[in-house]
Amino acid sequence: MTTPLSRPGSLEVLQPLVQPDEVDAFATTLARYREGKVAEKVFTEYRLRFGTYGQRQDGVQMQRIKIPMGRVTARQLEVLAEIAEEYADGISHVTTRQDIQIHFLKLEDAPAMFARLGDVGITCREACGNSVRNVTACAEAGVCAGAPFDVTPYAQATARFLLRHPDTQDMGRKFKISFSGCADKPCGLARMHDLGAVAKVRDGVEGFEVWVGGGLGPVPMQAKLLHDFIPATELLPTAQAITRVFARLGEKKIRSRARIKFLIEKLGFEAFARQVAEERGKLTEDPAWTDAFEEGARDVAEGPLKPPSTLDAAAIDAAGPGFRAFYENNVRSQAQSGYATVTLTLPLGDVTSDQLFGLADVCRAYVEDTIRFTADQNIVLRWVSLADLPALHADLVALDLARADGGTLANVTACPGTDSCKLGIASSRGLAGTLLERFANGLADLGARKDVSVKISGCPNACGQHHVAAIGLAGSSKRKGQSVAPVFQVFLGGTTENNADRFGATVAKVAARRAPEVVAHLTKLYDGEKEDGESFTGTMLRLGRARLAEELAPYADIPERDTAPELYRDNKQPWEYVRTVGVGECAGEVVSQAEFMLEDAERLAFEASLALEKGDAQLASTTAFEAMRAAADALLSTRGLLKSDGYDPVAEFEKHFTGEGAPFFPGTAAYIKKAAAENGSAPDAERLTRKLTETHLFVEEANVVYGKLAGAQVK
Amino acid sequence: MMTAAARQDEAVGLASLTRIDVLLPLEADPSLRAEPFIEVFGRWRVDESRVSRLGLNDLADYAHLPSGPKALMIADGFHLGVTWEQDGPAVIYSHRGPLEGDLSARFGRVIDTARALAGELLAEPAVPEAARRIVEGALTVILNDRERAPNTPAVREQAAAALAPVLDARLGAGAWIAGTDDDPRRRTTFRVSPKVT
Repeated sequence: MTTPLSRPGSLEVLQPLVQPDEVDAFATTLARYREGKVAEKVFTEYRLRFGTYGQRQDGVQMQRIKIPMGRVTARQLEVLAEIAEEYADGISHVTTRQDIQIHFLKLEDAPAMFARLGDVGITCREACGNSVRNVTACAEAGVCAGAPFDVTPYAQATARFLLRHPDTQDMGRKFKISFSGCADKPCGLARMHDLGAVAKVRDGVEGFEVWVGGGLGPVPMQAKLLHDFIPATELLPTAQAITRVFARLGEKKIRSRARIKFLIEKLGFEAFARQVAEERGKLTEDPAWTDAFEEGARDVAEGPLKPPSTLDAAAIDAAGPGFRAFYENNVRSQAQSGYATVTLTLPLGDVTSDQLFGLADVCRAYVEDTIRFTADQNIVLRWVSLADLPALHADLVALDLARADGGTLANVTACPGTDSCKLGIASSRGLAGTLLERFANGLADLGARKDVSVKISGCPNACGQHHVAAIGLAGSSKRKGQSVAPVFQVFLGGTTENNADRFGATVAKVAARRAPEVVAHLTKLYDGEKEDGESFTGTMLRLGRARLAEELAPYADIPERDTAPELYRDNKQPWEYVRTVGVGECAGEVVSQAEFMLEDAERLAFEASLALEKGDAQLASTTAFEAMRAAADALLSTRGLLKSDGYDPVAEFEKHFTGEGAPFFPGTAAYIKKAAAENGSAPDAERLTRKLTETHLFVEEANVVYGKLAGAQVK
Repeated sequence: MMTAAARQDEAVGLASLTRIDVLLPLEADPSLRAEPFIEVFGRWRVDESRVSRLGLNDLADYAHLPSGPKALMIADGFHLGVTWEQDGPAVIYSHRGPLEGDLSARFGRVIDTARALAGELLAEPAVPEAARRIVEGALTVILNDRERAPNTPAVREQAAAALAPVLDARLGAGAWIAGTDDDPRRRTTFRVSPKVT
């Protein structure tokens, strides 16, 4: 899967975007796999590198279709529609990385699908797996008045250059890149990426501010500034040098520690930056750098289909019903006079094949090929001549694509969650769908708010980007006796502004079914508490975790299943979340010692967060360790150990719950040893913040392991 | 791997067609909600005898969409659900498994299976009374494979010839008419309705 290099680091010739041989190879490898000639784990990573994922459901696949910067043509929309209805279920899902995903495919259909996508210039190569994932960029790059220049050609060059590059084929995990046109707006999200490039002009030279090591997931980290400015000509060599360091020194075995952010943490930022500089120094001039820029610029060149025009107030008034609201929420003036962008908001990021076919026709009438999928799971049409807006709106109404909720709370972001994702814990889409229903039935005022956003992930991995929402919700579960209830962790304080420069922190864990009430409660709280000009996030930060936890406490309380059976069902799922493995004894439920200890651990973890908020670093540090120890004690109690025995919890935990075949996730298990080693010392602020995150993860994992053990014991 | 040109050359691959959709329109208002069908599929997915008999996998919930397939049961060899089309809600059966025999036999098998499964679905107590009836004599047959059955005059003619005896046998000879869509981008489709005499 790699190309031999004639000189270290030099590609020499830029490879074609679509390679039909690759599709043939996939078909052959698939056949060999079916014959038992390719190992399962090898084939899995192989198909992942073509975007073909396993789903939660057996025997079907999710296909991620890589769309660099979300740019598509009208013809590509049609082919996406075709393959969704022929190979999937007729629905295309826009992801938070500007990709398209389709679900419930048969693996055997993948090669034919790849070929058809290839015919219109789309490759799925490196859409998943340990690779450079889809390069993202602001959907309004090039037409936004706030950016010094259009980042699209540079993003395209980066995507083209790093695709299949030998230096990116042996990374321990995925690598995500984003481009932003400016430092302050919420579109590019550069600071939550492995590599974020922010447009900057210095002395008349186009270039970039370069950020590295950002990421969300269970251990979110803000990116760090590697270069205040590099000229654009240095972009590709710098990106290449970073990926070379990552591939050479990054973790390869422990997946939870394999992202570049952990490598930077391990080496220290200065040492990492030196490594990058050394790698850059080794790279000789590669003609492919120039080719990539030239091809990138050619690939993405675009302009208007129609001449510029105006739209006056009288025309807005005379337009059809619903136009004014659509105009106010979904239309944005371009930097180019006489043109606007139009956002089509998609409920839960979904669009039917019929809609895509219709949209292709609409695009040909108004804009041709200036279409982009957005990171908030919508579609943006660029270069709409202003006078066309009423007619365009009418055409979109006919396609059910004229929701007037752009930029409002109703435009909820949600990952696939338990609908199809193997990692999903709670139904992010179910919650998003429930919110949409409520907004349409009695809570319209709430849905129309523009000062609050909601992003939902089905698990801590954060594909729904919950850390950067005003209200972030991440799926989890909570055991109560022999029953398990779906819950959402509530994150407050995050933002997409300034390229997502602040992540939300968890304040409570609420019943999944009550999460819509939580959204309503928090907005009401904001209305009552906000000070002049204060944002939602500003108010939440000012109120502090303790107050917010107190506010949400009623939603966090999950009574026994018999008392509140509805809380043991997920949103939009009228069946039990997990079948109870109760013993069915008439003596009633027995609460084990372990469950109490786990509850204690959760409490201690929260108290540690409070201590940090109050500035008591020492207390926060020791309490965090106590929380982990309580969680370890809980699990050790299932092995017959008693606290009164005076055992060493760290040593015993290692003995019983780590090592090969042990139930505890290895990366998380290591946190307790690290905390024990530093207990008594006062860590610096950054380490302490991390330690608290690790504490929450450790306790969470202890809950998961206990759940498995409890189930096994009952069986 | 088949190139675009080769695919065009082999366009008339109808003999090996296996992906066929059947839509059975319901005598129901477009305001019909998808939730009752989600509830039914939620029960079906854990009904072990049904899972085993039909090869059921899981449901797909798209009730939040304004149109299209809002509730689907995904099975190893088919998708079954309810879709909101321009004319209103319809049961959709999308065949995904192997098929034997000539094209007529394939059409016949898919239509019969679609009707049988639709009957099973609509008999569920959770389905509203207003949605229990299929429009008499109406159905849509879609050749869901542009490679084997591109929407060309030749394919439409060949497929129509194979479909006619199947419809005669089930709806009555001369009791039906079928319309097609000439847009080459769309799938080859036959919209069948009762012949008004």
